[in-house]
Amino acid sequence: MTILGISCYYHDSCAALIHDGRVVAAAQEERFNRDKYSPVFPIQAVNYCLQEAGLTIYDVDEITFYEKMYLKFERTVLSHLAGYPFTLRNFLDTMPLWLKDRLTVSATIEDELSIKRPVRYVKHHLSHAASGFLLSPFERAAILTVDGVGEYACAAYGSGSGTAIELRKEMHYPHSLGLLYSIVTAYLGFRVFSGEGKVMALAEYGEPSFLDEFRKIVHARSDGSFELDTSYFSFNRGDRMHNRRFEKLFGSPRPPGEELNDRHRNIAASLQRLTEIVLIDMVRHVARESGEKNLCLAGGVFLNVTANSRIREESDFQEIFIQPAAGDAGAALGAALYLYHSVLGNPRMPSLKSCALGASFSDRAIQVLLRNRGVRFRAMESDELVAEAADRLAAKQIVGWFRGRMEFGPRALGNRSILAHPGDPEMKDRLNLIIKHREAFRPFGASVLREHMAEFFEQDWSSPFMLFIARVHAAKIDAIPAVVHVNGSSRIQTVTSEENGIYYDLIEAFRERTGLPMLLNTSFNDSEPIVHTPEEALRCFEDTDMDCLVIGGYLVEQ
Amino acid sequence: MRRYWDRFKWWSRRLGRSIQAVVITVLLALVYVIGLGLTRLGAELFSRRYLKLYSMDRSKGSLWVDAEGYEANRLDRQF
Ligand SMILES: [Fe+2]
Repeated sequence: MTILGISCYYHDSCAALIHDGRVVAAAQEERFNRDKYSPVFPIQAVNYCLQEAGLTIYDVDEITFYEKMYLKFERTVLSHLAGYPFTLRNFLDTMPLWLKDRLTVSATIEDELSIKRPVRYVKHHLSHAASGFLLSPFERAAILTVDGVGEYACAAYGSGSGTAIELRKEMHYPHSLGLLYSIVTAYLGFRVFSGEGKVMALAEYGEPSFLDEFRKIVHARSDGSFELDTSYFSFNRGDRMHNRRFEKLFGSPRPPGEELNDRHRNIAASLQRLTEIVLIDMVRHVARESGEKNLCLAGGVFLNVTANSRIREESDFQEIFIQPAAGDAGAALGAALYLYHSVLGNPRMPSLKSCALGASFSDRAIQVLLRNRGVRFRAMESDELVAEAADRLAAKQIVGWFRGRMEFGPRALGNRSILAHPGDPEMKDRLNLIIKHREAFRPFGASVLREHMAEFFEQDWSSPFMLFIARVHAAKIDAIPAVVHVNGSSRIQTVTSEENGIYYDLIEAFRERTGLPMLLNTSFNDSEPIVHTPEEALRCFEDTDMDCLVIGGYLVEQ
Repeated sequence: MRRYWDRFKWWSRRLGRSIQAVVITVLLALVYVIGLGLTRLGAELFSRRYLKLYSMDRSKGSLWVDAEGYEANRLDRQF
């Protein structure tokens, strides 16, 4: 049985393939077409998935799509009807997209893939729910999904047991936490879809002094549900989603690129605090209603690591699982999993331990590339390579690390990473200004050996996909300044030898040299999507000031 | 000669595309102004529930509603 899952047309389009009872491959189209958060039909990702499985499109038995477009279209029409006659411009901008692609998705799939197969449409939040639960280690669990918006739902909850998933309640558009976060992200001068993480980072520099103002536009109930006061927004009426009334409350919006001030920081902090309060109320409500001990979370809102950590600390659930591609990319996989397990009744697969579901490249191919490009390199055995890289990292060099299969989801977790010494106080600025060309207020994550976590952090749990933050022991903050955010926490990935052997060995070798059981880990890119091929890695290496590059079994120096 | 022919083809293609875009925009504007306008009028007169997407109700105890349409036998439909 082979099932191809697809998500596209909004952001982060993606393909995922289930074959012979396992997830063979999953990848976002942006990695192939190099357009960040690309919404286009993921034809290159589909081709890659098939190639990884050694199959052709004719071997695919079923195709699943991650939402129901007609329902979404109905919501769009109702939105224009409610906003008539002020939504004409938006109507003219978006209708061609609906007519060209979105409403004809089944025909598009047929055309693009050149096969006729019935397409199964799984509702958006069910796709999210399936991506969260069916890859979790739990036999049964509560499920909560929260995002911008699917068809009508912006949040949903229910439970999963074995292969069955039941969503019981949902909250409808426009009452959406993800949408509010995106609206404020745009108001603060950042790009929607990529700027939300920046707002979350910025929030730690401010005070939640605008919380009362936010409470005026978000009428929260004790069960975590809430109502957005729509009189503060102008849905479908031009570029901005907030209106004058919103600006009266919060002041004028920040034009992109303008210097950030305390008001911006405080608005970000207040939004973040409100998000956390609402999410915790939701999770507590789901705990009461479901009576389950474990919780699975999915949807783009759960890429908010600060909120995730508060949920983990303050909810009554024993264990929490969040799938690494919690956003809409993961929904492509979720839709395929739902069909495979919940509809066709196939037994559950082992839980997802690693998100290395993307392409890998042989040493031979890498060597040919290096030779063709006239690059000087050294071939090394794995243990030599680990020792050499650890020496260089200990000497505060910045190392590009390109090995194994590309990660699925927004984080680089040790296969497409830029690595550095977490104890160097200047490393943060060096990386932000010289290599990543990004805002100085954004923190870097750390990859920590799981068994050494408690030595540096107050928490002692697993975070294999870097979806949680942990508080650093006060006495240890000065030892790892490059990975500590202004609030004394770090975004962390816990590493075990079972999940990523050579990456574990590298951190262990670094620990032997420095006493620090962790590395600064940031994604291998410079404002573009994370590198996918050896060519892209080499180009990024040459264009930036990285000191050396480990690529497959080779070491390249600048 | 060939160069002029290529240039002519390029310009005519561009012109064709521009005309197509203008025609589509005009048609869509008509759909909006007339089609959606009449629908709105109908909704105002006969069924205001179609206009309630952005309305609020502070008296509601909870915004959670029953989840619908998740049945497995609806997977072949887009609604
Ligand atoms: Fe979503």
